[in-house]
Amino acid sequence: MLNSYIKSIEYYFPDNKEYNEQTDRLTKKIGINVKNIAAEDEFASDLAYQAANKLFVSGKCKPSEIDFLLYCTQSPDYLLPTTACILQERLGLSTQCGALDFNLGCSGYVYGLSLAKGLIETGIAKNVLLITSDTYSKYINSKDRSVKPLFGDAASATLIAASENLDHSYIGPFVFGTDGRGAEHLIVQAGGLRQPHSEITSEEISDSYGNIRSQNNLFMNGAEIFNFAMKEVPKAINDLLQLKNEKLEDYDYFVFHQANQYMLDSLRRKLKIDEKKFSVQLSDCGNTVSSTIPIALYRDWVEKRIKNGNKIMLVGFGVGYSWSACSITINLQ
Amino acid sequence: MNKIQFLNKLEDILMIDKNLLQEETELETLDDWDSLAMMSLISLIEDELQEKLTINQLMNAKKVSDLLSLIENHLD
Repeated sequence: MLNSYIKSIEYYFPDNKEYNEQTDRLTKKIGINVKNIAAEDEFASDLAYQAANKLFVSGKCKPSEIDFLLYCTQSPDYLLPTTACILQERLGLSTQCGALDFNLGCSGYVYGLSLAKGLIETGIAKNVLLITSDTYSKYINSKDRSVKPLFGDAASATLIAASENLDHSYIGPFVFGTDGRGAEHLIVQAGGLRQPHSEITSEEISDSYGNIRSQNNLFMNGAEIFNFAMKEVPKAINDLLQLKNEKLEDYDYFVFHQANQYMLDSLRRKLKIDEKKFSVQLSDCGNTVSSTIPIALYRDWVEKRIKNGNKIMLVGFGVGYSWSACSITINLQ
Repeated sequence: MNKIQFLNKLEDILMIDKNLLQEETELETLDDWDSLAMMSLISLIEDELQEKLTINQLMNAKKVSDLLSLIENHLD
């Protein structure tokens, strides 16, 4: 009986740091002191390369052992070809390896785990490398206070492996959610095919709060996103619990997408989850999109807030709208 | 939800002690009446009263009584 488990996680931050204004009361509430920002000539695939390289250097696996690469990004090198193909070459993976990009943000890691589980437990792959990476900083207007303090750049690399020795799968079950009505609330309007870059899309406009952005920049309606998360996350968690007739108390720990501290606190209090069981790992990196969950999971494990054998709930939610929740048993090597 | 319960939940969001808010209280005198508190309030009102308010409406409110008049039809 083939089962899958998360064998190893590594992450990578770019060197440049951007500090948030510490005397600002609002900034304190979002809980982010510093973000790591990619250099002008540094891109998501460069961060991805570094994160995966850490995995190989640590000896957890060899590049030749990877038989499938899943690359989650919303900051691709090109519209085509697939950035994962370029990463295959840079990382020295086998040319027998499968590789694909998938475009998701904050829900990306949990979706990625479901894809990896599917590939492994059907016998299609044995060692899946799931990389998440984004450089939202390149979409953000520096004069837009609604998003600039929040987002940091980062990449993560996770090895999901097959095992015949586990008595159950260490990944799953899953619930998923999608609501395209949320598309307009977290969006980079120009730069795709529907609205290419032009002089008009580059025009900077001030909104009613004094934030400045153009259609080439990231736009986020914070109030709508907050509302969406407060509504859908508890529902998704409930649906997940019902799959196996579980209660929140059956879980040792919770790792939610690290959007910002205020959002996390609001959700934690609504769900009545104990602070000691709730991951908060964003003060030195901000919202790193699809990398927040693997980074938090790995750090909590290194800091011994969680240990192998623990039952953990992962919940990703955001841009799309897209969301997903799953159960994992942690067993990092 | 009645008026007192609503005010208590608002006090919760604003991180102030219970029963401190008066209808005449000016919102801008409250340290934690900011865009985050407004988001929490919008979420609370939609959840419990099924009424969808906007940040603009909340930004135009000057006193607690202005907030109450936005939702008085939905209170017990």
